[in-house]
This record gives sequence, structure tokens and C-alpha cells, in this order.
Amino acid sequence: MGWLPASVIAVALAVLLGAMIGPAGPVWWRVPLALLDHLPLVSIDSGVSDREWSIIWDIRMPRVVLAGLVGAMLSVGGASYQGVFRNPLVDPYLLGAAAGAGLGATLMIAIWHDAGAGWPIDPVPAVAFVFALGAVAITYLVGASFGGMRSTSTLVLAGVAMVSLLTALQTFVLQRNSEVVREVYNWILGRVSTARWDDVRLVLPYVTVSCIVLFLHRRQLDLLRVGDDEAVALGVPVTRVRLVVVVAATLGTAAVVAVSGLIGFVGLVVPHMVRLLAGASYRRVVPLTVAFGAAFLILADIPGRMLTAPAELPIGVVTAFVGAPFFIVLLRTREITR
Amino acid sequence: MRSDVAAVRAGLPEPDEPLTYYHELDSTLYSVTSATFIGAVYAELGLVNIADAAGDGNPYPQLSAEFILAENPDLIFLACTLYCGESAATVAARPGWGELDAVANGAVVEMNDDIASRWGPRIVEYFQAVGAAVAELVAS
Repeated sequence: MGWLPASVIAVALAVLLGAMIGPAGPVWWRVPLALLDHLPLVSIDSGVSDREWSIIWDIRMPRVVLAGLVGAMLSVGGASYQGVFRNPLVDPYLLGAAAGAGLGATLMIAIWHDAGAGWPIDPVPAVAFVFALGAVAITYLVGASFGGMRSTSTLVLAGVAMVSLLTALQTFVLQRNSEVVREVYNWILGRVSTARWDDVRLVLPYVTVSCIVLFLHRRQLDLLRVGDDEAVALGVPVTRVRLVVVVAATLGTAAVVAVSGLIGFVGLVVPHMVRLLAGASYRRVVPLTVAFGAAFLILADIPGRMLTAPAELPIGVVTAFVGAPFFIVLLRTREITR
Repeated sequence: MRSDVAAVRAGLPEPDEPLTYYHELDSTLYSVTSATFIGAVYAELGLVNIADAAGDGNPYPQLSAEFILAENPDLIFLACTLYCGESAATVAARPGWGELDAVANGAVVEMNDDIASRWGPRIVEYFQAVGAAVAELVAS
């Protein structure tokens, strides 16, 4: 079977499991019946009460869909960053998107709290989003002023410096306002557990646009793998492609980070899993990271709600805790079978 | 203080079954168990805490939203109204929460942040506010 159908099946199964499993609500096997019952022209007696349907549709489904969008975006963003920087260790947080969002959210929660009271939108994600984009823009300007888009290592180093600076600022603000530590950490560790459809609507346009742009550049990403000079010789406008890919991946990453918090590990591990399974060509890597990234984070959210049920475990803890050993096993089995 | 608390307790109506409650620290559904100081206040007044099921070693658990909907607590106490801006209206507007009996019965109680989280002699006022909410719910 091809990897593309397999990835679609993986997403469908993850969504179904995500909708069925939870600490409360109806018996698991009634959930698919209830979902079918709510399709147009279908009528099935699912035996699910209004309150139970509310648990499925208002509580579980938004978090499943949001986790899917976040997982897809972080994964495809990570894969694209790894491509344009020709560096397997980078993730979508490389140029400061996460550190910027973290600082923005911390400032909003700790200092500007009262200023955001009358805003028509939720002020913390809005400020986190602006700071994420601002941080990457500054990194890019600093890096590019030293010839960064031609020599990617300058840009990567500018990113490292920017992340350190922003993290130090965030720690300073947090240290001066220790009463908000819990609230800030709660945001940082991931807010998928309280997702609503509004959150989904907020990130969906950014993730869609970002994924489409990255998908359209998958061939250029392949050509970039052979080296800048070779890619130029093959007719790829290297600087422009790199800029467009970075902007698209950053826009989507900033949006999901602003809404869901800093969920680590996904952007690094899912692209490598996909490469190990299906090969390194971006023509496959881009669509497959979208699908497997979505499935991965939806599945990672299930232990998040079940392990300490009825309490929640932050999804950021689960992604690292479940993902790291899984990745090591995958690396090992692949090494042996080769 | 002791006599004031005793007066609140003496004035409480006796519901057929013990009333359940959910004490909300903020909109991300952090709560307290009966092992905490503020949890002990409710226990003193005979209320049953739904968060106790989640308090395995953690007196301040973050509850799952679907658990709260399924438990359907009789009373909801909001402990972050002034700072977080939470109110009975914002709770009722949360997706799915309109189904809760506490929302339908007007039993979402907006507490004063300063008394709910900064404990001192004014804790008597907290007892009185909880007592009044219980009396109002039982009377309705």
C-alpha cells in the first residue's frame, strides 16, 4: 500500500480514537454511531444523550481538530525548515517563533493584563502571534544583513542568539511577576485541553495557506537539498524560495503556537519519522508530514486526557515523553533492517 | 470567627442529597481538592467536591472539561472573577456548559478573588457567601 493512503487512514483512525476516548461521556462504541447520526440524511439511534453529545462535539472534537492542525503545521514547518537550512536538527521554533510567542504571552499575562481587557479578541494569543512574527522578522533582518540568506549558518546562529535573548527576557519578566508563574507555564505547556471551535477557526486559515505554499514548493525544497550553487544552476531562485518557505512556515507556526502554546518535539520528530519510513524526497515528505503530524498530535492528546483522568496532563509533556522513546525505537529498527 | 462560621453552618438548609460543587481557579479549569484550605471550607459546609476524584497527589488538579460536564455539579464557584473576568455569563457561554444544571439554576457563584485566594479573617465572608449560595439553590 502506498504511504499516502496509509497516512489518510492514520488521520481518520486518530480522529475516530480521539473522539471515542475520554474520561467521561458515552461508552466508546456509541460515539461513531452518534457522529453518523448527525450526518445529513442519516438517522441512527445512538443512545447518546444531549449532554453526552455536547461532550463529544463541543469538548472533544475541537481539541481533536486543533491538535490535528497544530501537529500538521509544526511537522510540515519543521520539515520545511530542515530543508531550507539543510540541517536535520532544526525545528520550526529555530528562528524565534516560539520564544517570541512565549515572551509575548508572558508580557500579556504578567504586565499588560489590564490593557487587554476590552479587546474584541483573546489578547494573549494575539500578542503571542505578533511577537512570534516580530521575533522571526528581527532574526531574519539581523541574519540577512550579514549575508544570511546565502549562508544559512549565519541565519541559524542569529536565531540561536534571538531565542536566548527572548528566553532571558521572558525569565526576567516571570521572575519579577512570580504570581503569574502557574498561568504562564500553563500556557507554555499547551492549551489543547481547553480548545474550542473558535480556536480552530482562528488557526485554520493560517495553517491552510501555509500548507498550500509549502506544498507548492516541495520540488524546490528537493532541489535545495543538493546545495545552493547546484540549485541555482538548475534554475531555482534560491534566496526567494528560502524566504517564501520561511515566511509560510513561520506564519503557520506563529498562529498555532499562539493558540496552543509551545508544544515541543513534534516539528523535529515527525519529519524524521516520515523520512525514515517513506524516503527523503519532499514530494512525499510535505504531504506525509501534514498527515502523520496531525495523527501524531491527536494520538498524543489521548494519554494527556486519560493517564491522570479526570485531571489533565499537558500535551507538551506527552509529546516528549511518548515521542522520544518511539523515535529511538524507530531509529534503531531502521538501522538494523538496513 | 468561630461563632460566625458556626452560625453559617447552623443556618444551612439540609438538602436530600449532599450538594456537589466545582471550584474554578481559572478558565483553564484548574481546581482545588478538599485537601486544600479553600476545599476544607466547602467540606466544612457539607459540600462534595467533584475535583476530589482527580486529586491523586495533586491538590490543585487541572480538570478535564468533559469530566465537569459529566459530573454536572450542583454549584460552580468562580474564584477568578476580578482578575480573569470570569462570570456566570462567560461560563454559560462556554460551548457545552449551557447544559449544566448549575448554569440553568443560576448556581454559578462569582466569588471575590481577594477572599478566595488570599485567606485571612475575611474567610468568614467566604463561608457566608457559600452558605447563601447553598440556601438560595435549595430554596429554588
